[in-house]
Amino acid sequence: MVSKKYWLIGICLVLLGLVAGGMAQGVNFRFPRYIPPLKVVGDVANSLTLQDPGGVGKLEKITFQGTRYQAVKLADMINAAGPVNKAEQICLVGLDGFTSVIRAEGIDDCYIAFSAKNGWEAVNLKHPMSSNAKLLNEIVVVSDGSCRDFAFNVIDPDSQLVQITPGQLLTRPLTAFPYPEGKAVVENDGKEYESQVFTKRLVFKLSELTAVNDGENLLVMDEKGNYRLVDDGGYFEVRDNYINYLQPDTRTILERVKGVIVHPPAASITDAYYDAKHYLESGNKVLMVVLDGLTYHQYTSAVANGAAPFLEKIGSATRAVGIYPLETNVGLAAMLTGKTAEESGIAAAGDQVLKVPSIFAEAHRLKKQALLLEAGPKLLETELQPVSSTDQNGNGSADDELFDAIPANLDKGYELFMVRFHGIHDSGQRCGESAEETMQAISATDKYLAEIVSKWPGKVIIAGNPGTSDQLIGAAAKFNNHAMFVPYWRVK
Amino acid sequence: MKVGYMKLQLLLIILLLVVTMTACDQKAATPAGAPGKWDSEKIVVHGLQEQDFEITLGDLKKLPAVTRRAESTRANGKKIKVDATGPLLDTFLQQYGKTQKDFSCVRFSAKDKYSIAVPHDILVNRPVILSYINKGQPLEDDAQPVQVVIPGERAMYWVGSMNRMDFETGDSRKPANKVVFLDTAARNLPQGDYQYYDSVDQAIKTQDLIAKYADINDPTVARVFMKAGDGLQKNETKTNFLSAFIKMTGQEAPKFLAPQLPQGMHIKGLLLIIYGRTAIFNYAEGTTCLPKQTFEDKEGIAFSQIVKQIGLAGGNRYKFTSADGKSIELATTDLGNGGLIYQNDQGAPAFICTGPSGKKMVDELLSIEVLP
Repeated sequence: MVSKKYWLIGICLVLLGLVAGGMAQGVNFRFPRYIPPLKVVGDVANSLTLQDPGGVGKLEKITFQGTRYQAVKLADMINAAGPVNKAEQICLVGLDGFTSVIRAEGIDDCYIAFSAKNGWEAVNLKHPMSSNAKLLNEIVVVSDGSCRDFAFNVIDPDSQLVQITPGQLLTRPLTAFPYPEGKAVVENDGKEYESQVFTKRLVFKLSELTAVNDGENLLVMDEKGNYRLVDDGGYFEVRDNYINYLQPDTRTILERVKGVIVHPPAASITDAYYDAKHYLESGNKVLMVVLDGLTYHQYTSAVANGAAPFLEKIGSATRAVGIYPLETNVGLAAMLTGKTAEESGIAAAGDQVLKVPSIFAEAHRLKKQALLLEAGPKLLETELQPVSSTDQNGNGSADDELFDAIPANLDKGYELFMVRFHGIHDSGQRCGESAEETMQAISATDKYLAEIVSKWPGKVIIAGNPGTSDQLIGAAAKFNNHAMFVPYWRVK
Repeated sequence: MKVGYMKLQLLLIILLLVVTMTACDQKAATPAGAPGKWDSEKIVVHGLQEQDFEITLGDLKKLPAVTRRAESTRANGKKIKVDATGPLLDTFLQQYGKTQKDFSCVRFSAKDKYSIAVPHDILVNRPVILSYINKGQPLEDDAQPVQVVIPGERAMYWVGSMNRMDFETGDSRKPANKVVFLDTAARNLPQGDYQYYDSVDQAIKTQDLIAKYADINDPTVARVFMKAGDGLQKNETKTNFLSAFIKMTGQEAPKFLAPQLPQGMHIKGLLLIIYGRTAIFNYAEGTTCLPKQTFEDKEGIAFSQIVKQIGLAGGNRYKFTSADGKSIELATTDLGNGGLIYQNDQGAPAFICTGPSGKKMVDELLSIEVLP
């Protein structure tokens, strides 16, 4: 009997709970709780979008001027986003544009709270009251700008024109540009109703950062190796922690732009493919020499120092644009296919399989015999199996072994003879691009070239292959005027 | 103890029933390609072949399918999450030797008459899924037969109950209404020496060509479409195009090139340029890649082939103009056999047709214009 009573009480409680739950659902349905997003952007590795006060860091109970808050430390938020290099300033940006800027050091007593009344709110216990911005929608982290690899770079062949980070750009005047997204149409009762959709983008023109003449060509490169030759008609968009290039007229978008080359030279390392193809089609024998790691800057230094008499003798090199990312295999693929990383399929250090035919396929089509001799490990899978030389004498380079292997192959009837030296790259990586050891490597290669070219009965193409700069390679390498240009020769 | 055991048994039975009912409630996943009641639903395809044609959902189900998870936000803020299964638009286009990248835009229309044009930059960067299964289940009836899903793009592009696809090439501008023959035009333009490797060839400036034969100030021109005889197609910015040359002699001629443009941007064997509403067509290159036709003792390219290549605007009358400025106007009914463009004894393009009003000829053909 007692048991039955408990059962009845239990059932009643469950029903009560269900009713209460349903009511609560109803209340929620009528008054949904919405937390506006708060973004942490700028010079951070990962931009954050928060819609939960406890989403990042531990909520702490603090009291400020008699008001109690549950808040998260600003430093925890910034750390969660991963500041790039040294954060210098933090901008607390409100919905109405009100922005307070505080120094990034000394934010131990800074908190971010959320309340229905003030939205996201800065509660800085020791800063002036004006720093306690309300209705925040963005926290911008601004680094000291020393992190060159993260920066947006503008260069010309001779100099670094601009180096600026997304965070620094977000503190500058930017234009809110309505970027057209599309036009939807629906027909109702025989009439068409349209809806034009735009997204507001924060943009700037390159000419706002550096002098650019009207109609001047710009070579815009992204971090994956895509590039576009454009004019100054487009915009650069600052999006969270990266830069995009937008051309509304042609709807060209290049995401995560690494840098821009102003006055880009027409020559590119991809020319090696087109020139070799032209010569082969014209019935010439072609010797292609690839010098891994040799930049235009190193070449001019070597010539000035008398370290490259042969290269000096054959005439001034053309300054050619390299391919980003600065990886040896990416550059080699560009030379072998005439395509950028986007098209060749070789866009990162580990990539080996070409998506497009190489010059060896062209040689095969033209029924010309081809050979690839290279120092160092095989970098790419092509239509031709390369012959690799290894450092048998332990002098730190396989270039001498490669050079020794060349004479025996020169008179075997090859019409496309390709040689890839790697010693300059190795020295550059080991000692630095201007180090004496690297100049010695250039000097040794110069001697090899003098010997090979004098014995070759056809056309000669010599090209530097970017891929080394201050010990940095790939996406970490600097987009600067030293690393991005290589020397290029067409001889005879 | 016995009562407790019975209670436990009862509880287990109830649990088992609940689990069984829940399991029964879940429908088995529908495999890609499985037949369904909407398979005969038709989708109109425009712009892939000379005439519109229809495909069915059943046809799409025969193609290899992919499954992609995607999320998008509607204008009202509602998030849509899908596990979309269906063929890629590229897989569908492969049957016609095309890819998404070949089109300036693709307009998807729905049964409720909603439509949206997916622009070129999206076609280049995003996969488009012609989805007929979502989360393992056939689409809801109001989304049948196909839901377009473009991961990473706004929900406005995710057209449900899609029943028409319009494929557009070139720009969204009006089609060309005039074709100028480069072979003839180049003879009337200043030609200069162009150092090309070891040879010195003759080249014309694109600026001269366009200034004389097209509307160089056409404000709608942002990009210039070019096509080579080997099928290569490229869009070049107006600035780059107008600062370049067309090499008319020597190896790989006619070749679009410029000393300031990387060689990767040069185009050999240039067949066609579309600048606004004017097309520039190279007859000699056309003979290397287009079907030939014979009329009387002359071999050449059918006028209809050139119209097709260019996508010339439709019209009832055409004006044929020769290099000396003389012209004739012909109605489509006057074309009789359709007309042939051939090479005359001087190596210039010429036109011939025989219709109800007799044989018509235009020597040294410079242009053909569509008349309103």
